[in-house]
Amino acid sequence: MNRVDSMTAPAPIVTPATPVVSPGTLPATPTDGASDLDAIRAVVRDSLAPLTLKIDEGYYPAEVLRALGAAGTFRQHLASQNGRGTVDIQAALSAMDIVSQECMSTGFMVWAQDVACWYIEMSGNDFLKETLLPKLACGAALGGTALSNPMKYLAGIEPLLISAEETEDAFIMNGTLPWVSNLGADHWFGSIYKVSGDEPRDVMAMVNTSWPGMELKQLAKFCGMEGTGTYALSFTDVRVPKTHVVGDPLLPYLKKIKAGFVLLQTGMATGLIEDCIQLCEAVEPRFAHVNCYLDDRPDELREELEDARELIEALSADVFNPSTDFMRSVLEARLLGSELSLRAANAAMLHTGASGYLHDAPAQRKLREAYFVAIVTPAIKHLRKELDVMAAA
Amino acid sequence: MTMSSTTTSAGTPRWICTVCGWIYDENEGDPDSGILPGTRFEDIPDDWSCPLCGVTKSDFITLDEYAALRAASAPTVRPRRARGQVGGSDAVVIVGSGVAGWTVAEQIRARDPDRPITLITADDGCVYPKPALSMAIGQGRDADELVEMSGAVKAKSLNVTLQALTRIMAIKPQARRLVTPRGSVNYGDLVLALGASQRRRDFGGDAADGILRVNDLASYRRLRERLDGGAKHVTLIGAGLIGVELAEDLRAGGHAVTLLDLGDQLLGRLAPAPIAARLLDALKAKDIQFKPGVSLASLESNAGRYTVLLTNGRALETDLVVSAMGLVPNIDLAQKAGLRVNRGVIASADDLRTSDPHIFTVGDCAEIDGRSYFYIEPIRRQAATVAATLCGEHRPFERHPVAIRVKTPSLPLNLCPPDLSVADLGGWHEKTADGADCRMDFLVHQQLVGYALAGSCVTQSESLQRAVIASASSLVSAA
Repeated sequence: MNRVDSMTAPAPIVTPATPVVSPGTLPATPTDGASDLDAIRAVVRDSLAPLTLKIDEGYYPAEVLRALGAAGTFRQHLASQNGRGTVDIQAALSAMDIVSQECMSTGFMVWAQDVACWYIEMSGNDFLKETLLPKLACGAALGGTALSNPMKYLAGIEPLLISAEETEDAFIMNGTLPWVSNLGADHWFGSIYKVSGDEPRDVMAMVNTSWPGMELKQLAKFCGMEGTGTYALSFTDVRVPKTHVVGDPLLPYLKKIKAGFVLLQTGMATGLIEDCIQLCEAVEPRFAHVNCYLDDRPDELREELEDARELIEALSADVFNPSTDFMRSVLEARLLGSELSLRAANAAMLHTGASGYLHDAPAQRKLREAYFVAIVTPAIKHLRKELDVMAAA
Repeated sequence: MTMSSTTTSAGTPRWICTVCGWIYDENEGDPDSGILPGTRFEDIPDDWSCPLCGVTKSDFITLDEYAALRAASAPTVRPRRARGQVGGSDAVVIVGSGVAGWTVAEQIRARDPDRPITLITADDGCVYPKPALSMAIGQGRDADELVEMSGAVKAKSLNVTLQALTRIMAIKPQARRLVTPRGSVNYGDLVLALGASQRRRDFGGDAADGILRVNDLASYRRLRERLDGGAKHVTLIGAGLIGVELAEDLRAGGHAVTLLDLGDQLLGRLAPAPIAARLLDALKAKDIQFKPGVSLASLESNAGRYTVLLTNGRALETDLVVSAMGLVPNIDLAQKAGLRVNRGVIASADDLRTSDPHIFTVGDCAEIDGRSYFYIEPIRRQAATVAATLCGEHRPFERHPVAIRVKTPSLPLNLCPPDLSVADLGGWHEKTADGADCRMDFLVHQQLVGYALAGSCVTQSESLQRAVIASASSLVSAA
């Protein structure tokens, strides 16, 4: 009972409890998904496209993310924020698809921001819904998700890396998480930690990177996706007020958010595949006479992409279905996104040939992005493991 | 070499370097070399060179010309089917690698050595005798010992493309495509051999998820893992065919067994009461417990074991619970694809075609004239019907009454229950009875339409089956 009460108490550290933008007036102007998508296309064309190469090499495009947020990219799936009052996963996926066609690094950050919003939207935490959610949904605040380790923990792949002591009104967190994305100073992320003490359990809360004891370390250099604000996160006695808890008890909460969490990633895959197909199509006048000897021709990939989109759209309309069969289909759709991404990027390389192998060529960048789709949590191996466990039940 | 101004079909003037393939787009120019966007190719200075390979203007032609030249050398048909021959618009794609699926592949191959066949299955595709699953514990055979042939070897022997460990996510009948987590697969004709699953009920209790079902090799493997390490007590829910066979097999393997059934006899839907009573005597003599009129209400874990709470309020301690409440055809995929379904996927007896002209169904998942056939003999005949149809022959599936051999070594039974259409027109008559040995006939208008044999009487099954088939056809023609 204590915990529930403390959720509605004012935050000790974060800025005013008064919402920056009142939820009742959000979104500012457009309320239909289609006009939002047009605005998103314009941001991609005018602000994102000129930066794609720079982002691939390490530039973190905060201004593009804020512009995408202002255009409505992050609010599409949020009934409380999109002006339509419905959970519209499909519209969120369409937005992410458009961004990912141009730059999947940015598409990935759209996903990170989308799920940070999703965590709050699906919680019972009215305080965060009134204060933080509107800012994340419009891009005024940025954030991501540190759920890679917990997702693997829940699938029995690795132990939970963050532990916490419980006090009257807070949790004191310690530990280190490798690679968490879309981070920077004063960014937000969802985190799951193991609570010891009288009432041991797992809990999820929203945490700010600028809170005392938080440290971001850029230790690794990746072969792609370098501009995604990806850091190792170190926690030293970080005090997380109970006002910022989104999941406690954790398991029923995770059950509610998981399908959305996984499904939302498929927008990265469909956007990437779409652009790979277009790269193949663009060289048809030059190479059709010899590219027809390749597997996975653009027209064939196009059929498969449309099949996948249709399937994902049907699942998106049913995102709170609690059945095991539904979750299996969601995981399979995510798996399909990975498998098709790899094949489409491979096809883009083989179809474009030497011109795709140039240093700045889109095809080679798509290839590195495709491997990201296949290894970011849940990775192909992780999905296959979960599906195997389900098949044995 | 022409230098006349040309536009592509898209309306954008584009020129291609015939040496390296770099494209000059007049809208974009070549700003790195000082050529502004909008500069016509003709207006580029002659000392300009290709930014990628360094050749001069004279090595450029229009993209349209280039494409036309190259197209002349292109093959007229797609040189190779994509992705290692999985499916294809000329292929028969079979879904499922049970007896039904593999038999269809065998029967097609016997008729047509060249037809492309792809078999897609959610499991590993290995070939094993399914009836052996309910007699292997007593024989001490583990799952690996039941495997007759790996899927890969079987596929190679039939020249079939096997896509194992791949579940079908959706069927798109209009496009004749399947969607799988590995991508889409085209088919010319599709054969659904999806099988059936053990009926599920929502049992209560914290250990309800621990209830096992045995319907394939993988689930048999899990059962064997749980039985490892000494004698256990096993509770079986359901005393139908699988229930009684498993009971006896588990007992032969040295385990204690309690059988539960909501009905008042063993084999309630298959055997007349006097035959069931004889089987019960034989099972009791082996210390197998039978609790009629009772089922499991909930299952609670209890210090490494389970406590079964029964529907009659009593409880019992057990190590393992296996549910065998009967088979339910797997129709979900077909239903979502818009095929006509009832309890099973509806198929015509004539050719086993479903409501879609390019989709056939066979085996446990199929329903023909309101009936499903869960036994090997009719499934093999169904597979022959499908294969014949796909190879241009006409070989309707004949709806014979099915003879069921019950694998209970303490009292062998052979059962042929009457067809449901005549079941309430006649009754059982005891023909011979001598201790455990017994023969009962089911007569309608003095005609034999079913029988039940116990003990040494099972030797009569072949002649009786012929008689039943003969009278079945005369009853049909009379109707």
